[in-house]
Amino acid sequence: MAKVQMTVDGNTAAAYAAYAFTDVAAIYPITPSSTMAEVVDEWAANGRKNIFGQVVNVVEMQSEAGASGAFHGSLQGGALTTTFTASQGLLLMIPNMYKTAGEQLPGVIHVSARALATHALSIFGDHQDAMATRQTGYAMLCAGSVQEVADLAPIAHLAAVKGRLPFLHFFDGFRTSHEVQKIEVLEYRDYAEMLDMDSVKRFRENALTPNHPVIRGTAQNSDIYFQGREAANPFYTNIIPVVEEYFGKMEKYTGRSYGLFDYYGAEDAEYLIIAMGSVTQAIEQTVDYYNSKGEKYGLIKVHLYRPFSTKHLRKLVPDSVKRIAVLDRTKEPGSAGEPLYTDVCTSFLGMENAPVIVGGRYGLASKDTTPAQIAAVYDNLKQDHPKNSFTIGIHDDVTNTSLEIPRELNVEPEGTKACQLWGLGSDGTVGANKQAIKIIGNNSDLKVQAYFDYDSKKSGGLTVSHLRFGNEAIKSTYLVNHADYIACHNQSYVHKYHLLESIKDGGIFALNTQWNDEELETNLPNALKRRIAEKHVRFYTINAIQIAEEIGLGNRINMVMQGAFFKLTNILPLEVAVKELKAAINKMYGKKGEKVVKMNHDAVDLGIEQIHEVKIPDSWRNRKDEEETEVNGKEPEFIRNIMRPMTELKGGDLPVSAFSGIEDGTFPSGITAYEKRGIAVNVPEWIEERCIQCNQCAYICPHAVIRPFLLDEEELSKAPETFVTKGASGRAFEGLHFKIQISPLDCTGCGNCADICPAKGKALIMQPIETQLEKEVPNWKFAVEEVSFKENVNYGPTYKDTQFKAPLLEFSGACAGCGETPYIRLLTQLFGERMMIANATGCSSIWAGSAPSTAYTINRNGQGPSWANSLFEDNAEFGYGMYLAVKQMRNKLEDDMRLLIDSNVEEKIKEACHDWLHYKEDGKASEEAGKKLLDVLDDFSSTDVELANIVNDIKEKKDYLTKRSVWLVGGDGWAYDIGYGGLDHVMASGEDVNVLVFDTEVYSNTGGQASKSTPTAAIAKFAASGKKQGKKDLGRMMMTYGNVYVAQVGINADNTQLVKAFREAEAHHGPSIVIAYSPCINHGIREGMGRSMATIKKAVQSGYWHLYRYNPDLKEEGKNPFTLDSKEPTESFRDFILGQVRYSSLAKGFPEQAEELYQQAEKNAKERYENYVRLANR
Amino acid sequence: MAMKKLDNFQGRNNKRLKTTDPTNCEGTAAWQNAERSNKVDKVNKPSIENVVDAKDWVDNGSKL
Repeated sequence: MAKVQMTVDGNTAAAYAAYAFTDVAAIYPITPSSTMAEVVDEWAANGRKNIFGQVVNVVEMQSEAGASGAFHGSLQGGALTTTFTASQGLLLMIPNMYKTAGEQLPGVIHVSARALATHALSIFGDHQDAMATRQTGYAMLCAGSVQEVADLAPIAHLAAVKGRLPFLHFFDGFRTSHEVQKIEVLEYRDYAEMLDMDSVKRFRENALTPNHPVIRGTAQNSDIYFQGREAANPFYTNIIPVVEEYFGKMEKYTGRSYGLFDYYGAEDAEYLIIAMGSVTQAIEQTVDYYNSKGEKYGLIKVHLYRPFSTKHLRKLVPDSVKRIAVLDRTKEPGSAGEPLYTDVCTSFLGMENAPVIVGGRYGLASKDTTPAQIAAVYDNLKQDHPKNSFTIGIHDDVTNTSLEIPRELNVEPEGTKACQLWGLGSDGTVGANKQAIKIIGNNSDLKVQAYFDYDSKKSGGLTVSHLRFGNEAIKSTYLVNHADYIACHNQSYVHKYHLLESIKDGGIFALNTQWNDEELETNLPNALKRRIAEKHVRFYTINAIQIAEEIGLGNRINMVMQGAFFKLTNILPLEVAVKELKAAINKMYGKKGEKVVKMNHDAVDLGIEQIHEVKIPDSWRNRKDEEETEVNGKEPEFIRNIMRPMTELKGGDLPVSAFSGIEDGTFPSGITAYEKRGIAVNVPEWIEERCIQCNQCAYICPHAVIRPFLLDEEELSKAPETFVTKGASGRAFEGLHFKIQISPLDCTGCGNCADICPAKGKALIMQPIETQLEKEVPNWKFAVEEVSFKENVNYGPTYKDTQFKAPLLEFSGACAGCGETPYIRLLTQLFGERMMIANATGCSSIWAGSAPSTAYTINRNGQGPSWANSLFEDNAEFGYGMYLAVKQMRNKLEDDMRLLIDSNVEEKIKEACHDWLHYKEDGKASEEAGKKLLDVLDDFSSTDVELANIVNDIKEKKDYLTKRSVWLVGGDGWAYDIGYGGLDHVMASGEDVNVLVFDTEVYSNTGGQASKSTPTAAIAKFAASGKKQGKKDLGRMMMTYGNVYVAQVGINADNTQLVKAFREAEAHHGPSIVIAYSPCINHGIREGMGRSMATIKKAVQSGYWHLYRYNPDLKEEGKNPFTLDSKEPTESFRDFILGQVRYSSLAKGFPEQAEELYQQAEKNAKERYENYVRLANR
Repeated sequence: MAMKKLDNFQGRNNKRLKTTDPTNCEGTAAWQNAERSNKVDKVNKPSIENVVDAKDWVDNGSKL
């Protein structure tokens, strides 16, 4: 038997084993499990064979429900089938889990266990999902480390086949799924040796076949259903020795032993923790530490959770144990105890002298669980009355469940080096650290660990890499909190984050900065200086940006910082590190030519040479924090107490009481305005003399950072000196002054505004942000605080006029140049004050609502879009439900008004009621009619109780008087795939709801998986050699209902058509759907995201995307409802698609297929166009 | 801390409204790497490598 060493994360380790045993994988992507399916798909695409000598057939389904259906069917068809999922996806599989368990099919589900969406969604890890399936009849295996994943994943498959029961194999999402470690796996031939081929044969012979047909899935009644359920009992008893048998075989092959439960710690332990998952590693570390000091602590790790063998558990508990704490990484509100706790209690039921057993919760949504917290669990056991149903890792000052953590603790073995590296998404830091881990792992006997902590911003965004190296096994399954080395690759972070919170005394801090030593004195915050001095930090700086620029690498600093890292940390002999780094560079960049290789080599050398130690002045020790800037009144309580700590990464310190009053997960609107992140390198400068006041810049701005303002004389008189304006053009704006104002600290610097500016010589030029801050920051403040929206102006219907209204979506977390946000930003300008948005999970829910940053905001009347995200698959139904609620309330208002009309109330009241009834389905008019009605009812009084109640009811429901604009919003992943069933049903309802689809033609948020909107020839995950099938024509499908308004739009391609489409959709008294072409970073637009808006125009000009409107209301006028708005294509389709890496890379990777697929893609687009022409000419 | 119904802020009393210190500069992001820029409007144009790096980050690195 041969062992293979690899440095991989938990997902890859699971996929490696799964691939061996899998014929068919039916999957659907979901964070953090998607990698498993992706690597399996990649291996299949590259021809890797499983142990049966075949390539795995990987099929992406429309949802996890679909994946589990296909999983079930494939098993019944005789193929060994696997799937990979987490969280909400696992919940969607539950019905088929019951089926596959009931039918005793040997399927395996690998789960990177993740939190469930409750009061909020979280992508982070805990056991809520796995525990929600414990009653399905699946056997459940839990792995606590990357090595355990590698060992237990194959056992899940082996035991499933032999034992005729499906298995769920789970491990902690992110902490294990994404943690990189050096591990050992077996070769596939060893797995083949272990597999019981007789059982495989029996399984295949039992498959459904017409050659000896059987019937499965009958309907049964109360006469036999119960007996049928109980008949399977022996399989649950027998699976235990099967699992034990495979544990034994794994030990023979690997030397590592596993039991259903494993004991660790003092043989005569008095205090015991029972737990499963990654926390068991940290508990082992803590046990070692305390037992070396004379304590008697023990740990039982659970591997086989279902079936739960009480016999095996009791046998393992030393007789000396007096007290047991059971740790559950889930929450079951209202229960007597969490699942593992109740299983353990049951195990000791009726036993004489049973130990005291308490239960606690930890680690929800990857909340870090440290040795100090574990020590508190053992301390609690020693109390006279140990707390039950406790929590650790939080401060619960509401129901007081939390244990006090007495002291900080470092239990890591001597000689372990811990590093924290703060970087920016896509700056190369994470990739370089992954490489460093591999270099160190492969060139030394050191154990290595890498874990990456990100915020939610899709591109850019904070990354913190936590790296550990040591001679002993690294069991620190928590973030680095005692760092020997901290590096910050982005100098702007010094103003926001507590970078050195984890630094050890005498540790090293390396800062990439453009400041020289004198400028450090001026620019570093005092708190940071004080920390450096107090902790005797060895402080180094390097101007990696300048070095990279001078070498010719632009802003690519990662190799410079790598050189510095290896020099300062001394983990490997420097010459070895440099040799290996340069070898890695040769491998990575060799194809790009010698010049590129040399530049990167030079970067490493210069990083080593130019890293420079800063002398710390004594005065830094006594520096006091800078005084807070004076604000007119303090910041709102929510901002001060919740938003600021969260954005500074101190949210973990917030007590439970911080969320009292918002236990339901409610967050206020408009929080992003408080961020002012200063992302951009360059921002647009307005050249007023060239400006033609078309407002196109504001119209297309993805982040609402550039806006037109109209000032009257009085406002202008108060403006700052630098607030340059010009006379507003257009009769409607006579007498007013016009200004394009930008918010430099909110701007992402994408440059789209400057790119599309049609003014001669350009009225917007990108300039370094430093040159703009001093004047434009106060100018922006003046504009938003002191300049009013001019209500009395007679605004026209054009897109230019729409921009004078403040957008009610601003400063979102979307990527620079995002193609989604401009559409919905415009919608908020048209209907925002009466909008309700149901938002599917995806990029649009993340950029809009990643706590604490809420990007939808309110106008000065306090009105703005209400926004909620339910799930992914149910968004249409969710929004429809909102609509139904509103409709019901408004129907009651209608009933009330009809009663008033028929009563003896004053004429003016009856008239107001008539008005409202007449205009109730018109947004603007219903608002006015509603105001008028409330006016006349204001001083209404009557002795008639019934009348008084009716009027009261109207007043109570006044919120519903204005017609709401209900929008169901989401990406193509939702609308074309997982949510299609619901969307179709809602469209079929005939009700007045509106849908906006951001069509990025791919699952953007989860990493670029193909959807049914992905066109032919595009490369995406699960379409690695180019999508073969064509793009679904969602619009045409919706047209078949006949009463649905359908539009396909492209901002910047035809701005007038877009505004028309939005207005017509909203005005249509029936269902509407608008499909918007949305360029995405995933597309790899070669001209950059600064040309994302230009790309939309090109898409239409080349016939790639088409603009049209299908308006059923025109039928009543005897007109053709279909209008084709885009013209005959004039630009090259081929040139357009080759301008995007998602298409052009096909020619490189799969040249033999590329030409055929490109031609097919063009043919599909032409055919679509011809269909539209036919519809238009009817 | 109870949230009142009218507790929406309209950006008022924002201590960062007057500040000129960036806290999350994305100068080192792949998409910001200016290989060249348009002469007139100076809009950043990344190299193809940077476009690929930026795409790789959203597809594989950020992992959301």
